Formats: sequence, C-alpha cells, structure tokens
Amino acid sequence: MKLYRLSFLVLFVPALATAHIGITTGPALAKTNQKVTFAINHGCHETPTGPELDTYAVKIDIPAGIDGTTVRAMPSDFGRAVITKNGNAVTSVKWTRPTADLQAAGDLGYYEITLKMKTNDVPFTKIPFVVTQYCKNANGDDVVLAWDDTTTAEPSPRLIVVPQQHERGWNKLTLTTAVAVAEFGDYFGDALIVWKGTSAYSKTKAVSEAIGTTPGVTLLATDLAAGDEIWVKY
Amino acid sequence: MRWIIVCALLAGCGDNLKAHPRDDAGIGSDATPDTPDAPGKLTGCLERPGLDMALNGQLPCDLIPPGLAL
Repeated sequence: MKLYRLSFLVLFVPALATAHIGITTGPALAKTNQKVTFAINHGCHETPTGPELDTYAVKIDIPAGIDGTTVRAMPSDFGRAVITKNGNAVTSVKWTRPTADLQAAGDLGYYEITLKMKTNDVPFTKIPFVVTQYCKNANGDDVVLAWDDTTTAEPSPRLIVVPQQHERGWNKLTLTTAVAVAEFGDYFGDALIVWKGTSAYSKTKAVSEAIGTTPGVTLLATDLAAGDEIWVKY
Repeated sequence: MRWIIVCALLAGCGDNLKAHPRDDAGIGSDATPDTPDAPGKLTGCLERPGLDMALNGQLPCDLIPPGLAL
C-alpha cells in the first residue's frame, strides 16, 4: 500500500489498509476477450478506530500481460470512465463520481467496476493490477490508497490466467511455463482432474482421495515444468 | 423417437444421449470424443470393469485420460 501525502492543492491524508480490492470474475482465459470485475469491498480508514470513508474514485492501471488495445471500460456506479492511452493502448482507467453522492462516513458501501479486456498469451501467470482508491474525509481532504504491492499485507489484486484451451472434456496441453504445485489450486481449481503420466491432481477432495487409492496412480505433488505434457478434464 | 425429442429439450439431456467415447471403445461406436484431442479410446479402464470411485474408492473411467493404461 502506498500512502499519498501532502500535495499543493489537495490534502492527501494517509489511509490504513483495511480495504480490499479483489477480482470477482475468476480466472481469465489467455488471449480471449472477457469481462474482469473488480470489487471495491470497503472504503478507507484514516485511523484504526475511525469511520470507514466512502469511495468516490477508482483508478486501474493496465499492466503488462494485458493487451491494452482491447481494454474497454463499462459505466458503473462511478459513472463514465476517463481513459488514458499510449497510442491505441489503454494504460489506465479512472472512474470518478460526484462527491455529493458519497455516503456518510460509517455507511458501508460495496461497488463493482468492470473492464473488458484480452490478456496476452500468458497462461499460468497471475497479473497484478495497481488499483488506486480515493475517499474523502470529513474535512473534504483526499484519503488515497494505492494497492500496488508496496507492502505484502495488501497486495494488488491479481488476475489468474489459464490456458485458452479450456474445453469441456479432455484437454491435452504442453506447458509453456512451469507451474508450482502450490499454485495448482489457483490454475486447476475448476478442473475435474489433471494428469501428468500416471500422476494426477484434483482440488476436489473425493477425487483426490480416489487418486491415492487407485492402483498404478500416484498423487501429482511436484512442480510441473515447461514442456511437460498434461491432460486436463474440465 | 418421441422420448428422444422430449429428452433433447431438457438441459443436460444431450450429454446422456451422447455415448461417452470411453464407454464405446472397441464396440464400433461412432460417438464423438469430448474434444478433438481425445482419441476416444481407453486401454486401462476397460480392462478393469467395475472401477468406480463411489463403489471402491478408485477413480472412475471417465476421469482417466484417453489412452492411459493403468
């Protein structure tokens, strides 16, 4: 979390990282146009016991891994978006609503904002988005939170990218990147089962147990390497 | 025929009408594999009829990938 402080025109007050911004639409298919929805779960706090301040603006920076030319912003509770571009590529999107629409401090608001976008061909990666959240305190000063991985306590929301080949049934894949066993749940969470040779993985408890009790089958519990061939059934 | 028409109108019924390639391997079925990659042929599973997760705690046939012999 990066804290913005004084500026010449606007007083930026440090805010506490009690708010979270997440992605609610789940994993994205590589190289596929889709909606990605960000959830503004909380407002901002100036002090640990202070009231929660409503959000009046949100800015999302478009990171590497996203095809900026495909980014389109949906209108939201925050109104129309202002787009910043570099050539034809969108580099950031900011939604701002009138401060007159803000709820009183302590009134809890939840908001969602959505972008349409296409990722590059980067399956089995997690793309961090820097999201900046703007609130107002009782004095009308800005309270600004930047979810930018500056601290590990409040990381940027991450878009999980899975392979474009994601058909119902069997999918035979040759990995272009390594996949750590600790991240199997993130990338294969919606798969019925994943096989490498005679080793298998499933996030589903009953299937995972059956893997362990089926003769000739071992639990897939080691990292996958680039070049590995796997079968995935969705 | 009438049943097939009614059944086809129900969500998910089409999956039941379409024979699974594993189940029909070697018996002359023209069932379509789930994906173009799936050869629709099973080796290990058919050699062990009755393999079923619910009955004996082992993986059912449809969770074993095409061509894998166990």
